[in-house]
Amino acid sequence: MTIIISGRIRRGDLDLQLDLELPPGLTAIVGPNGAGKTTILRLIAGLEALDEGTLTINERVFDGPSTGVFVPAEERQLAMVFQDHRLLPHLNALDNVAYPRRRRGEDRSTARDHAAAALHSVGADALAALRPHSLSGGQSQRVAIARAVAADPTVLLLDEPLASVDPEGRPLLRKLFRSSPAIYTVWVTHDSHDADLADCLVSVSAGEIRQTEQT
Amino acid sequence: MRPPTRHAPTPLLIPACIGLLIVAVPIIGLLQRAPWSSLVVQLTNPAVVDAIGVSLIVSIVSATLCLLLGLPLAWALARIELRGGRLIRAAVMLPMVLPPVVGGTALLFALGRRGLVGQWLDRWFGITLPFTTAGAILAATFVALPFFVTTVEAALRQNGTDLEEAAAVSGARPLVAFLTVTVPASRESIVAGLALAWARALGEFGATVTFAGNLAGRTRTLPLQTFLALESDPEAALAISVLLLTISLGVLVALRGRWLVR
Repeated sequence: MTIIISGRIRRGDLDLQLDLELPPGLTAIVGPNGAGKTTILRLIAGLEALDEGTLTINERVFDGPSTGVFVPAEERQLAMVFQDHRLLPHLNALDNVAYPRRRRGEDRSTARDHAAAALHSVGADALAALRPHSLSGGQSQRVAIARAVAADPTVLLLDEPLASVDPEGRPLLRKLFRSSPAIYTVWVTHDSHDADLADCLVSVSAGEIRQTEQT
Repeated sequence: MRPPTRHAPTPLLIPACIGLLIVAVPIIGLLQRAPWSSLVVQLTNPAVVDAIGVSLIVSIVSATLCLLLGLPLAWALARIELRGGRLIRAAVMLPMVLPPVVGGTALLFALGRRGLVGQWLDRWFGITLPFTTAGAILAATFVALPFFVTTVEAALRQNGTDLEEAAAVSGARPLVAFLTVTVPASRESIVAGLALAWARALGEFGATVTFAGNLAGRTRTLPLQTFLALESDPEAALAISVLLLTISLGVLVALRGRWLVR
């Protein structure tokens, strides 16, 4: 049981040679801006495709350009918290969080019940009826986290998920990520406290990628 | 607005005022000559009522076609990278700059009884478009579609694919993402494009008269009725002009105000 990314991707100035084997549990990805941390998440998500090599999750190939295999994002059973949150502007917070469950065919009221529970788990109960445009940066990030958690994903991808959350709110969310039921949680962060929580640490800099197991 | 510490140069202000007058004087002239006291009588005259009916059917069906065909077209232009993309975009926009009478002529030779496509429509399905209400709808759609497509395409480009990606990782297939995210997130531009297309369809004259003719109750829309009345009954022409002006102003106010666009 691992996520294996072994291959290469070039996008503009970025040229990433990847050879990663992420174990179940929490993986932190650290490194300077522009080094390719987000690109690794987007590769796992299926929003980018490898130019060469393969990406496998639990022995199943999700992306293998040489064999023509590419599983699209919507079939990967994962969830992602984007750096810029990307809440749907026409839905209130509750329906934003319910959205992934609705797409899986769950009926509206069950999906909303799960969404309400997820909002509660991130301390955002009070925001349920609000539209994204009336949320502050930190509030909208909490709702985005709730949406990802509510999806019950196999792989939870987090792109600097605490960047706009106030310092007092962070411990609750760190605990949430640490105890996430997702098999894999991959967390891009700039904070060394976050990285200390991880089972596996990936550091990306200047095209060089190092992976270390932590105890 | 003029910055308070600097004077606007007179050489700019004079032509600016003349330009404004060119737009304003005809409108004022129309309103000054309008038969206000007999407006209701003029507009309930059976010929005018017929034309209002034809115009409503033609413009509403045409706007609906713009929505159903133009929305996927705008999406394709905004999202699909094609080698000939610029050429296709130019072709879609062409009716905006093409003289409408040329559009009507083109429609006639393409879809007329002897036309490229028209002869097969006639032979296989018994469908004849010229000089029918369907033909008038087609002519109106030809000129109105680019207004809808360019408005919506610009919005789709500006919104980008960020939300569609969020929908995809949430498990939405592309068509589902289009319907549940792309469309609702661009709804203000869609409504604005629809209003523009409807107004353009309502005002269509040249392509309609060329392709669909001027048949009372079938293809004689309000602009055609106005042109006809100008010869025999200027009062009626003025009354219909006031009606069309009011509708156009209404669309403009709705677009500029916050009714249609955020």
